[in-house]
Amino acid sequence: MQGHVYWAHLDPEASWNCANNLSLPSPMGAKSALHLALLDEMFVPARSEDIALTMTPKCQALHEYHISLGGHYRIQSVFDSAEAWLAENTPSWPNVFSLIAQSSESYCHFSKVNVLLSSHFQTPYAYLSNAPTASEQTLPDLKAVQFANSKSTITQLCQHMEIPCAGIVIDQDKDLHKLHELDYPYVLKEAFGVSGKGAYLVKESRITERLQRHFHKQIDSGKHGGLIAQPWLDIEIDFSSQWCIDGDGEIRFLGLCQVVNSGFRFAGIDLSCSALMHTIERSHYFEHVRLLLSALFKHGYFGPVCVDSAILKDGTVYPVIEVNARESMGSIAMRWQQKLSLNGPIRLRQYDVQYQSAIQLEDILSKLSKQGTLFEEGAADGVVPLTTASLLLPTDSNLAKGRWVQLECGAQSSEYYREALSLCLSEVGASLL
Amino acid sequence: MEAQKVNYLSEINELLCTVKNDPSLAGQVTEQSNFIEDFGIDSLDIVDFMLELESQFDIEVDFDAFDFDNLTSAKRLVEYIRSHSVTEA
Repeated sequence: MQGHVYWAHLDPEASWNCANNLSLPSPMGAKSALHLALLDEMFVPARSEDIALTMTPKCQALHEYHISLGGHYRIQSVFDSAEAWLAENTPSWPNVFSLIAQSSESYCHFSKVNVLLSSHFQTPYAYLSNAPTASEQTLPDLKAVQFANSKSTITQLCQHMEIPCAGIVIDQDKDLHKLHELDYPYVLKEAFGVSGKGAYLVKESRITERLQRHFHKQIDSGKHGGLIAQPWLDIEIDFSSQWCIDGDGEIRFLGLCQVVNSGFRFAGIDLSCSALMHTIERSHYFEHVRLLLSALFKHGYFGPVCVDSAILKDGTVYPVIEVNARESMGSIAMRWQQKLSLNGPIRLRQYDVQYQSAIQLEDILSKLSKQGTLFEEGAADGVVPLTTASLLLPTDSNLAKGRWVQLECGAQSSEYYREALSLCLSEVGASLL
Repeated sequence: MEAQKVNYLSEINELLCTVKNDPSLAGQVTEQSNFIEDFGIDSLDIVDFMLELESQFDIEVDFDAFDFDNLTSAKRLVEYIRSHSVTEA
């Protein structure tokens, strides 16, 4: 059987957003971190014949390390090197697909991508409407993807179906006064905001009034819709459930994970959730989520879904905070767990890293191994680095900040593994932020 | 003029400490400071930082037109504030 092609654009919300939507204050030119584009190598294919198509080549040392743990799959990249990607102004996946659509045949690496995606079934992290597709594969259309990912439509849909999901949709000028009816603090979210951007905690009426002036100005210039205001939830545990809606409408539950957040910032995933599962099984959680996902299918969406949920401090299971109709960090952690047949407590953690010169991954793997921190064949515990591409760039590219993502296997605490990684990085002039 | 600039920097520095909830940043802002790279102001901090600047200096920022590069140099940010301040105009 021919392998599937896996590729990942980790900032799809920006492509799904409508330019006409209202937006929170965000200075013009504040772009998403460039290193996001290089984290695509985390999206691991399921089978050995599958191909991971990444923007820049996966580090050979990392690939060989993953193979040593049983993580076989084929790798291919759009660009032959990170330098070539930098030299062409660091295009993202939407840029690449636009250039393919414009038939820019002078870029042979783009035509390679076109041929590959047009001739294989693909498993994307998130659907982009302009990605080339094999004729025998059907993917959901853009409107269905936008519907399933918009916080506004999900809020309205849940409320229509009486699924607990508090929030008000800010659509037009006349809705802005509703902000004054909310208790403080409350959270304003853009329809296509994601962890780290597109959400703002409003703590006092002075800020509400200021934001109303900002939105009035946008409405006067023709924008509308695309905002919700949610009450501040007193959360005990953040968690997410991973699902797949098949093309025939069957809804499959794939797993549950606890989400570690620091404020609005995503910090990690814990995959061992038996107590959590026990708690939510006693609620209407699965019934509510299945109802919601059925509605998404009726609106034309099928594919991966991650539902963000919570258990509140009073014990209430809050089923729908957000829906991400795409893969997620939770599903990535689960894919790696399956790929490497890992047992026991598994966590995923991510750290921003400041570095002065391109890191030699072999050095870091060697140092982690000497410490006994690297997970190796036959070991009971340790860390499995998942992505390092954003730390291997020459710093004259003006990219001195990258991201390290690792799986943690075994009983040691995340603090212990963080300290061990920090020590290794400090020996090569890099530091965790 | 120089004293005025020092005051701006000092007040911006105080706001930075508040927004980042980090008193150790006191006295760190210089004309060359890049708020993004030097102090790790990220997309979540930016709105708080800008709203505090508005309040402190009695200006109103047009967020849809504000140039992100103004945050890459404290000198540029001071110039922006001065050019938008009613008392300076």
